[in-house]
Amino acid sequence: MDELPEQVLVEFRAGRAYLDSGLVHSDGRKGCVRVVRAADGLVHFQWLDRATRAIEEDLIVLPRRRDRGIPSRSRPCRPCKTMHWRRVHACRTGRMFVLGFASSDLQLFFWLQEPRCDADVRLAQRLRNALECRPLDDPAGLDHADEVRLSDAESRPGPGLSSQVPDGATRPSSAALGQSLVDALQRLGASAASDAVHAADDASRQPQARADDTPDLGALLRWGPALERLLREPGLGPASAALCREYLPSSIDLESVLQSAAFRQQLEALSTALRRSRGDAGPLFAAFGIEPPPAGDWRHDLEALLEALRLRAEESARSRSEGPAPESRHGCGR
Amino acid sequence: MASSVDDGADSEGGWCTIESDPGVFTAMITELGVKGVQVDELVDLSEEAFVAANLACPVFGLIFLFKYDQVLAAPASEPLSTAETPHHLIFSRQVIRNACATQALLAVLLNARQRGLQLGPLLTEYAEFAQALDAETRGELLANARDICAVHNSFSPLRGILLEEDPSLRNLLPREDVFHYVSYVPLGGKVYELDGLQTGPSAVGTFDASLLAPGTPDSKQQLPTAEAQHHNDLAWVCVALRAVRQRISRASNQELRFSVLVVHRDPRPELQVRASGGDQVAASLLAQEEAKHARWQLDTTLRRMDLVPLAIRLLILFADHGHFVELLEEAKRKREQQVANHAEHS
Repeated sequence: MDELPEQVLVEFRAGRAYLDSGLVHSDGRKGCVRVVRAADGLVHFQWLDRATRAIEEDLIVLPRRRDRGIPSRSRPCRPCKTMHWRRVHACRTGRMFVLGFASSDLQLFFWLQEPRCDADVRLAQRLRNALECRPLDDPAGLDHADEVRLSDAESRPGPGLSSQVPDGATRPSSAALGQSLVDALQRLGASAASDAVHAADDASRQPQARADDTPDLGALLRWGPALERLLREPGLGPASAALCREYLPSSIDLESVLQSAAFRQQLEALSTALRRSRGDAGPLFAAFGIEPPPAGDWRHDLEALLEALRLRAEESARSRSEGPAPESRHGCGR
Repeated sequence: MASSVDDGADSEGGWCTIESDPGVFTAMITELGVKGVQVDELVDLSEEAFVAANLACPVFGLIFLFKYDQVLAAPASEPLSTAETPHHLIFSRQVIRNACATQALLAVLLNARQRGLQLGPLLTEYAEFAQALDAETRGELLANARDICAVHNSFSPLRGILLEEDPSLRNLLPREDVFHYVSYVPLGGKVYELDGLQTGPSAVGTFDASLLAPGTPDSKQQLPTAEAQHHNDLAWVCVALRAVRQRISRASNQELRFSVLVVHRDPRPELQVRASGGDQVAASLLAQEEAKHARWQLDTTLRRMDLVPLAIRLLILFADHGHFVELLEEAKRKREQQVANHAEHS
């Protein structure tokens, strides 16, 4: 059987990064991400160290089940979705992407080291197309959500994705609290609740039989007279305004956000996931910059989170009454 | 071609679930390249209520969506065979469940061409392909239509995108109801029910289209007067609403979740013209419509944002100012009230 020469489909300069306790730490080495079609006809995703030329990551992109067999030039590679390439929006000061897998919770992080970032979207497109065996310029490789988010970041004042990255090797940093819903859920999913818990949870969701009265996170932030009053407090007003400036486009006010279906649904999703998880949310607490509560018989991680916040409130009230009024504390992990 | 069975991870072919509200549909139509069309919800399904809603005509179609139920799933009448189906009626079989909403929307848009609707380049090309295919293959055409899929997915809430990428997370998230979508369109004096789960369209009734020339894309004709269009719409919509009401009445006594969406002309350009001419009523109606569109736009923007970090930071902020317990008590109090109300009404 004649062997095909190795063909590099996509290649660009990128470094690696690792997720640890909710923070992404980048490895400063200069490297390359590439997708190649090897001599045996299989498509590989690789990362190599540019200094040593050693290939440190070499993953075969698996075709769909019914396509497995001896690949040959005459049988085209069928599209598959075993790997996906996504921008990490939580990392707002760098060009971070993650390679995820349909069949496992492994995540590999990479940060772009190409000097100009205006080709990032196109490189991502070509990479996705290569992984899914499409022509490299196929518009299907574009991630619509990627582009929408990009314009959100650019219009937001304050720290965000800079459109001029002067030094391609600049190491990105990420705010621990940039932890997105997607990453949070995948984290909880990695130590997923068993089916038994799931079934029990469904039973307890019947309104009559509800033993669990832990409120949803969204319920705590429901817009109403109580919340409005709180936001007018002298310390809270400016601090909450600062948060809005950081996270919201200037045209959107906090009231609209808190009243929106999107807000309610995202928090409901997070709350439900926390209810179905027990003792696994440690990394999530760290990502939020919250001390987990002391070991206790919490029904689930949502209860633990609320307890942690309650303790924090107690602690802050205590330190206010004890000493000179401290500067209002911001959430840590900025 | 994408398969709807086989590999679990691939069964939705890359299509995410989306919400079924009029704002989502209106924005999707615009992003698909169709101008001047709006979707509104009909809360009351009576004829009087439809007239009172005063929706700008022409009404291109209705979309009836309901929480999937075996009884409700039966069509209004025996589906037509290919031979019995009018040549210009475009009917597709459903291949991808998650694409259901977009499929129903396209069923209306593609069949509205003969009433003068301009589809824009993307859908015009799509319609040309679809016209030549049989119902099954049309379903596959949509399943593989990546541009349309991309627009569809851009309206998926984060949860939808998440589940599409990692179905195992379903265990962690609240259960989602499955909704089914059925479209109603008028053609040549008859009203058709287009349900992708059936083998063909069903005829649900006839209406008096005598004020209009029969609508086929080939025949050259004057566009009907506004009044004639209005009369035409009322006639066919009433037939469709009757069919929907009959279908709903079949449901057992449980709480049925459903919605009827009306796909019709966007009234704003005409209102704008009238308002600039000094028409106060038009100006006030225009303001209402613009406010509604602004709300929809805000919903779309928020749906695409990751709001979790802001929420957590707010909770921490409240805790740091010693106010967390108040929020907790307020939330518990509201819940108790809800439970009490629920007990009262059940």
